[in-house]
Amino acid sequence: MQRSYARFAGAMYLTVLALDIASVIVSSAVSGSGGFGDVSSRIIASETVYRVGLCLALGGSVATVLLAVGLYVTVKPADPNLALTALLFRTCEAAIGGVGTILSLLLLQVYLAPAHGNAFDSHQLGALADLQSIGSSGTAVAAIFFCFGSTVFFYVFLQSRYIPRLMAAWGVFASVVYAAVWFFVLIAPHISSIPLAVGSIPILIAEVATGLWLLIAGVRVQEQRA
Amino acid sequence: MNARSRPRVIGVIYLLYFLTAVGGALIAPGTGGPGGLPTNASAFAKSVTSQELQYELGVGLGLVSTAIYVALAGLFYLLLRPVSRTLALLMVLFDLVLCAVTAFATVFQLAPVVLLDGGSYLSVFDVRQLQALALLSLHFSDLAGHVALVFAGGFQLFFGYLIYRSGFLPRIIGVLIAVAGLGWLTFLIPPLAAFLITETEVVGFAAEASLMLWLIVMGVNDQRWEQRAAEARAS
Repeated sequence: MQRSYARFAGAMYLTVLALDIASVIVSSAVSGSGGFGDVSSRIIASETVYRVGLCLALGGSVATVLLAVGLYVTVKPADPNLALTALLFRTCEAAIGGVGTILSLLLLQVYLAPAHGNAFDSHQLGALADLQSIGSSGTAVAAIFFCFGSTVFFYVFLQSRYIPRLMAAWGVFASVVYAAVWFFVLIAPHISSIPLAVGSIPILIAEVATGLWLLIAGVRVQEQRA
Repeated sequence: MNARSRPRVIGVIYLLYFLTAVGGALIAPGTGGPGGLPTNASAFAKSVTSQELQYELGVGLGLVSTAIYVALAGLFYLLLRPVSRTLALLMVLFDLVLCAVTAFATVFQLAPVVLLDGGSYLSVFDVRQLQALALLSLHFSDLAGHVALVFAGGFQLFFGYLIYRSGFLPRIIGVLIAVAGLGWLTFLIPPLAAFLITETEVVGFAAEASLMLWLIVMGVNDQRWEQRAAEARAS
């Protein structure tokens, strides 16, 4: 059962990554950059595509629960308590991710408002659209919970030798770096775009490599028993 | 676990959940009871301000129902753990995320009370704008409910499967619950969810109500539950 769940976790690693990345690409391709009026008119013109982007993000949150349980069952024999701790962190991440989708849907209503005629002028709607900073903070909080869960899962992988130690150690390093970056985003949001981009690379490598390894090679249960 | 009494306790708590959830929606004007979501901001504002206590009581009951659903998650886990510990855990996690998101949505239901309360710092907005914000907040709560339903879909899919596999609860109830779960998962594709909403709601209500009644009246097949529990302990 452990090997099956490890392969399942590998598949879910890649699924979650694909859904999250696709969501960011689709949403940002529609909204683009510029003032409230520009963004609003682009979203109104491609509302369905924008909604697809938000649904992909929601799918990512759902898949995170499946991934967390897959990883939990995989590493539980090595350390049940740490496995449960990591599972709870990743579950919190999924819940905060769901709330983040709600905030994005909230923001969508603000961007769609000019198409329907309403009680607010475009300046007021633009001010309301600044609420997206709340959504960004939600992403940061979800990411920090992800980092803690990811650090613990990779640490258990490192201790158990279920996957190559170098890969597990890289996962721990990348998760800690990513956590530091997201704390930096919360502390200094206006100067965080470059650190965020750079800090995302190690965790992206770790997740893709671990996902593929688990999916193709599974876990080395025999070695752990010896 | 006392296999003879616990299912009936779960059934009664399930009934309590139904009563608080339905009661809350019926009591709080415009929060999803009969007639659906209001579209007239002025009329909604009037109903909230004229029945503020009733509105807050309804929202509060909804929050209580969410808390009860958290407790139910733990009880369902204990009931279905002998079938598959891992899938029961997965079911509980989906339920907990569902409850967290639903509880968050309550904030949007309470926001109209604050917006329409007439605090002096809100005087920068005119009445029409405050009423629009209050209605907008209620619509946000509805959107949040749609997000929660996706997690409800994951929960019910595994819940139904576990019941189907259990052998100590009727398989047809498991099938109904899993079908309802698939229905809620269509909220990942909103146009499909809108097309199937009536069918999903009917199946969802029938599935949960039949499980609740079955637990209260019939309980579970004690002998089969003990057998599954012994098998789980042995493995």
